[in-house]
Formats: sequence, C-alpha cells, structure tokens
Amino acid sequence: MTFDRALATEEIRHVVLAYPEASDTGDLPGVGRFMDGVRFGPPEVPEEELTVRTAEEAAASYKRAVIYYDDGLSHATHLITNIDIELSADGNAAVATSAYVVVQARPELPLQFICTGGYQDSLERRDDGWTLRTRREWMDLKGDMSFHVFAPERFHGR
Amino acid sequence: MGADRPDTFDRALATEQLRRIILSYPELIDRGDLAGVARLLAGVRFGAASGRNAPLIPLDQLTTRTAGEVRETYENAVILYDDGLPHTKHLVSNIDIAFADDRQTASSRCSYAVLQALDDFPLQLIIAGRYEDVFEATPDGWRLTIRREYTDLVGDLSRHVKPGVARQLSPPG
Repeated sequence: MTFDRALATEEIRHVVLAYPEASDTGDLPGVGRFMDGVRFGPPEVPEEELTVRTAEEAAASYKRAVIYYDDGLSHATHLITNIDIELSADGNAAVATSAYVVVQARPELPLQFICTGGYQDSLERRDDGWTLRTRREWMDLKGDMSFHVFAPERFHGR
Repeated sequence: MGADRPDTFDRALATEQLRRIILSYPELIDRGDLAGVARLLAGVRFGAASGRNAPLIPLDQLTTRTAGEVRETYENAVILYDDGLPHTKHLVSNIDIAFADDRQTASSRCSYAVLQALDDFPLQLIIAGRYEDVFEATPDGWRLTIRREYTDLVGDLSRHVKPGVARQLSPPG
C-alpha cells in the first residue's frame, strides 16, 4: 500500500498554517477549532499530562490571553518557518516541527519581532483528512509582548 | 483523488515548481533585478490592498500590466542604491499550496516580511504582509496568473520606497 506523500505534506502544512491565519485575523472560533481536542502543552510535560480542551474552551482561554484591538485584529503576524514534516512508514501519522516568529506593529510599538519559538505537532490521518493530535509549544526568545498578550510576565524564553 | 485512470500527476514536482516561482520574486527584488521582476509579473492579474482584514480583492479590480509597465511601477516606487541593490531581504514563509482537483490550477497563500539595513539604518523589519497567488498549468510548465498583495504591518519604509508610496501602503486606521 502506497500513499501520496506530496498530498500528505500539502495537507499537513495546511493544518499547521491554519493557526497563524486564525490568530492573526482575530478568528477565535477558528483558533478553537484548531485546538479542539488537541493535547496541548510545553515540550517537557509527558503526553498524559497535556491539557485537552474543547473548541469553546480553547477559544475562551485565547480570548482571555490575547489582545485584540477595536478592529478585531491583534496587529501581530505569525511567521512560520523551518517546517519539517516526518511521515510514518504507513503514512497514517506524522510529526511536524516548525518555528514561529511573531512580529507586531501598533501606533505605540514600531514594527518589530516580539517573540520566537517553536511547535512540535503530532498529526493523524482520519477519514476526513489530517487531524492535529498534540501540540507542544515553546518560546525561545522573548521581546516586548505587552501589546500582544494581557499577561506578558507569564511567558518566558528558554 | 478522483478518476480511475492512471494518475500521472506528479504533485511533488508541481509543488517544487510552484515554490520556485513564489520564491523567485524575493530573489529578483532583493538583487535589484527589476527586469526580472517585470518578466515575472508581466501578464499577471495583479491587485494590492492594505490591512489584515482586507476582503479578497475582486477579480474585476485586478489589473494586467505589460513588462514595461511593471518595470516602470517598480522604478517609480523602489529605492535602489548606488550599487544597484535595495539592501532589503524579503523572507517568505507560511507557504500553503493547494491544487485544484483537475490539477490544472493551483492556489497559494504565503506571508512575507521585509528586512532592511543600511550604514545609517540598523537592521530592522520594515513591512510584513501576504501574497495570494493563482497558477495555471501550461504546456511550458506552471505559470503565475493572479497575484494579490496584502500589506498587514508597516514599519519605517523611508529607505525602501520613494516618498508618497509609503503612505499608500499604510493600512487604514
């Protein structure tokens, strides 16, 4: 049984890139759908201790954490690079690692990098396509996040 | 996946070719190769808008330019220094390509962020936005047919574009 490796890669990239799209446009239901049922946490936490939330819970917690301005936008952009996808031998599972760089501009904040870090995602192929199963997220370098999140002191670079 | 016929579509090869077209633009502009930019964008239906919440630019608002017109637009807008370079670096990320079921067209979305440094201008981000592209398969290979260019975040563009252009690029509000 062979599988279409290029198609799998295309679909997995689409899943991974849905997050910046939803976050940067203020699409909180979209953020919720992205995180729906996903085991989420930092790299060092064992899988069974990762947090799982419903779409509604994920959207609500995102809304409490991230600053959206009067036009509904965060005025931040998540640049996703270094995407590295490893498919399992049978093509039904994958691990995708990537780097994020968040840039932001506000009237009080000249356009600049505000943080950078990485994601390690595991995905599973289901009948309706690729689904995100776990996301581990970390920050490597922290800049001025005070215009992006309500509690910047809770974030730490490695 | 549709028909029962043998599938001769090489998705990996097509993806490689589309990525090369997408990535040729930063290569050309950062080298100051305006003739190359003009060749890439000649005949392409093009539109530009500002703001992360800008709606999709309608097809009837796209304009098609000749190579000469593209070149003139860039010459009037972009600052090239004595060495012929803009001293910018266009980073392209978030490339998300999707092929139509018939594999005759493809669409792509990606992000760009432009960095710049000069002797009297420390290395910094000067603008960030997105490209939304449409491609068509032709007997000569894949061809860019539509490019929509969105400006999301604007920094200090004064060393990259000529006066007047920076103002047009600023998102509303």
